[in-house]
Amino acid sequence: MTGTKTWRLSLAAILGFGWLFLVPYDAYATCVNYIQSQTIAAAYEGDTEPTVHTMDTCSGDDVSYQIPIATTITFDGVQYSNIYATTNSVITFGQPDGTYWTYPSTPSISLYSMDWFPGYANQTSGLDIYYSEGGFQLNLNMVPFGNWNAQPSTVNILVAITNTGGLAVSYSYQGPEYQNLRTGVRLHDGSIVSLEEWGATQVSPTAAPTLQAEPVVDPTASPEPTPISPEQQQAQAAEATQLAADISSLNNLIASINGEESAEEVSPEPEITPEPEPTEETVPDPDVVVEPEIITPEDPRFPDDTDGQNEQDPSTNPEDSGTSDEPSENQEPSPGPAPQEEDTSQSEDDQSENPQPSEDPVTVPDNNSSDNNSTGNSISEDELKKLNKLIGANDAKLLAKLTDSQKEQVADALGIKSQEIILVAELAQSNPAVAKALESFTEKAKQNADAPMPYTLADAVTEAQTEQFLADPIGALTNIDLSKVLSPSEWGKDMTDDQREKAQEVIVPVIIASNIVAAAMTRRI
Amino acid sequence: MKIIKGILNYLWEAVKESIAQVWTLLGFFIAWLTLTGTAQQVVGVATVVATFIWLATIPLRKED
Repeated sequence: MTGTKTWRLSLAAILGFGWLFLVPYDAYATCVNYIQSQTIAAAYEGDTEPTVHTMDTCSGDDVSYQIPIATTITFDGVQYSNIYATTNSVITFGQPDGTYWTYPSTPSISLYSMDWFPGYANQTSGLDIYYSEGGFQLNLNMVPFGNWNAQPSTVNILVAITNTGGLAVSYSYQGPEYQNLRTGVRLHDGSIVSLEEWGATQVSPTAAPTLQAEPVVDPTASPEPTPISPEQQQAQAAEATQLAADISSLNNLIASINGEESAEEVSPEPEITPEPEPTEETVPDPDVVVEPEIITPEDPRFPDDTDGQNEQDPSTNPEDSGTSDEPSENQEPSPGPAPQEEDTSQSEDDQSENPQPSEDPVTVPDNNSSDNNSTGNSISEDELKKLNKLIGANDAKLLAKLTDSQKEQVADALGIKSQEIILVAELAQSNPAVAKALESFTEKAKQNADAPMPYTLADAVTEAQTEQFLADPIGALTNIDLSKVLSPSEWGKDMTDDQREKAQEVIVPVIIASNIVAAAMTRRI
Repeated sequence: MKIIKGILNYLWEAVKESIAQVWTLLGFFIAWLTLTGTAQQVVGVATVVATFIWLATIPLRKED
């Protein structure tokens, strides 16, 4: 008895699960996704033989891939062991950053960056990363997002790592000169300097150097700032920490505004660095070609970054706003007692960049009143689109500027609660389908205006997820964050009530009906 | 020979069971599409695991 049973059990186990061991983990993978890039980067500790490795990435929209480096490198006086290349042609230090509408707030180097979509038009790999102990090279081949028929542009970036951990960057660009191309370096103090000023070298596309397998001996003309004292380095690290804390507190602020409990809140006034940390090479003279840009929602360019010039920097970087002295339009003394918006310094400065509050009522809700314009200024389609994009970008600083009434209107249009705006904004960061749904919501809502049930964000998300699944079934099925799956307390917290409700409405009848059908069919068989 | 026959029998059973459950699987698939975030991931993983358990235990269920 046991013999047969054991045999059957073994057979069942082998046939049921054995394939898991037979099929290679990446049997379906033809390219490296961003999670795999992190694994590769973590495992890379250099080569016994000097070698140049290739990482053929899966590209994607606003995706950051970790670049394997064998040693820590020094950028703007701070050491990093994590570097990321984004599909918007940006190298970020310390953390990934999907910012596509302006310079990332993360310390970074933007080289002809904009909202790119690599690899779409010509179906070639959009972002190839070559790496060795000597540095890394990024080859990007892309078109502007949404402009699928545009002539492809090519950016080649070579970053040589010197034997002292310094960086020497050279780059080339080939393609149309779009107005909103961004080139510049975001430093730790929040300022942006031009690539030339920082020390990067532009080369001709035809004469682009290639990656060496070994570190170059520190060229005296390294673009890296000369080493700074440990105290300065600590100060910079503290500044970076402060910045992170400020951003986080702004997010909390928004949450508290939505939860109607404002009160104390963040100290907006982040240390005004006594002097902006003179890292030798910074020399932030005001005539920098690349100037910080902030796109506030009222900026006509904000939603559909079509015609971007003089963008401004929503970098959520309180200190640069604090220290930055663009006195000009910047008044707006934020007189407001408005306890929630407590954004004294920083809020001023974004307001400043768009002195004409005229054309877009939705935008800058005038930071001194969190709900003073609750009078029926209903949100237009265009404004809704802008706000959706703002939510998708999860720009805490700008979201904090929305008044309660505006939040309510946006939430109402999306079919969610106003307290859930932040939830949706966070979800949009981790789930591309939600981001796409937010972007396309206005159009889809218009198309479904005649539907018997109100068309809400939940519907748009389901549509986007279906499209995503059809476009890449394997990717959609394998993109699983096990840490969350294994934490039951987290399950379902990242859904809006509307999404839950719609899911219930669909799932329960579908499963009941499908079981009835299954039972009927089984009987017939 | 006996083993091969056993395997073939099992595969045939697995195909029949899969067909019988295709409507249920369709229901779970629609559920998966409708959900977002962690709920979606949990449902996806649970569906796959349950399917394999179902297929792997065919011989056990045939026992009785």
